[in-house]
Amino acid sequence: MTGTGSTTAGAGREEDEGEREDGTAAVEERPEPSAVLGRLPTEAGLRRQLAAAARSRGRTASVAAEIDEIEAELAAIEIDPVDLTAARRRVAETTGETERLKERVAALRGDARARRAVDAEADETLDDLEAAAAELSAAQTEAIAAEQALERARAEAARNRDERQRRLRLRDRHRNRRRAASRELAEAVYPAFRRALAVVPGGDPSAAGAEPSEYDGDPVAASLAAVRVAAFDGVVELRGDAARRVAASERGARSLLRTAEVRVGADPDN
Amino acid sequence: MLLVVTYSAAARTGLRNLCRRHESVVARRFGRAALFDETVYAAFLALRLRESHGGDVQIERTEPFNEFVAVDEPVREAAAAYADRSAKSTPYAAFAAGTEHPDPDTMRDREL
Repeated sequence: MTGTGSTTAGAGREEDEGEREDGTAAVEERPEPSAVLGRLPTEAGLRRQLAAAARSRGRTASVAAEIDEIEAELAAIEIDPVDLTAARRRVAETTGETERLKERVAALRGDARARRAVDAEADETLDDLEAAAAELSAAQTEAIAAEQALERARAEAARNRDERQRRLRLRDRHRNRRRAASRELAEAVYPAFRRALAVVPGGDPSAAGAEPSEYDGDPVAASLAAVRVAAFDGVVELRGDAARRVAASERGARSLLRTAEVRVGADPDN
Repeated sequence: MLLVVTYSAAARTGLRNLCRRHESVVARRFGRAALFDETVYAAFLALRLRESHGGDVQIERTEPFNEFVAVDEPVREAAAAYADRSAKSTPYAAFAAGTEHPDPDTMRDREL
């Protein structure tokens, strides 16, 4: 049952589109109508199918220019990767080394003091102390340099994140406008879709309701009706339920779907 | 606490899922950011998110703010006095001019 039900699933998914946010979806090109309707059953929801049908008939949404602008802006954004790992690690290492040497200096100092208190030989301890103090001083310099480098990297990352934030906002806006466009286009062809439902097998105009979201009829019939409404030159490939429906109909596939070429694909169910 | 901020739709979804699945580590949730508990487990979850989404995930460590430790009395007093001002439209710089209240630029130049 690969074909059946996939359209309903698609319609459900489309409602969730605001929630489903993979980064790539936002910059993806508007699909060619034939990519949406060229093979039935389709994964696309009814609104997308009808929008594709509308576009194939030369309709454009009122927000089309705005969508183009957003896409141009998005295309112009260049973002470098942000990775402060090395800078953070260096800070951790140099700070750790400083702490270790501080402890060593303190221990040697205590040692030297104790030796002097009992008039014991302290020269060697004092030499060690001097060496450790020099090491500590070098380590502190290194730690400061590491802190400063991280600070600079963080400032750079903050600028980078401003751009990422801008890109995210644009992508969100892009997705909203795309959805608005799709809704507008689908509504524009809805009367034609309702009429087409009266013709295609399994179609029922009374199931159409007032708008795409109200459609509660058969999903395969809806896709066939969407293809009938559409006007594109490509081949329409029918599989599974879509193929069976059209084959069982008295009318020829080309007359039903009003397309130049209809091909019945290998049925994935058999 | 740990502040986790996301910068892409995918990272934002990842954070949302993480918050849903691990409610107990989440102290506060915002749109595309969240505050996590200060535990190693919370840090581990934040790191996992960053491993998945790289530069689109920012992790910062926050500390509680105590105005009695962080700033001097004149700053606290100026904040209270300004909130209590009679002319609501007066910007702070004008409000502070010619008074004992600290000058905004001076404050800007001083680190906490």
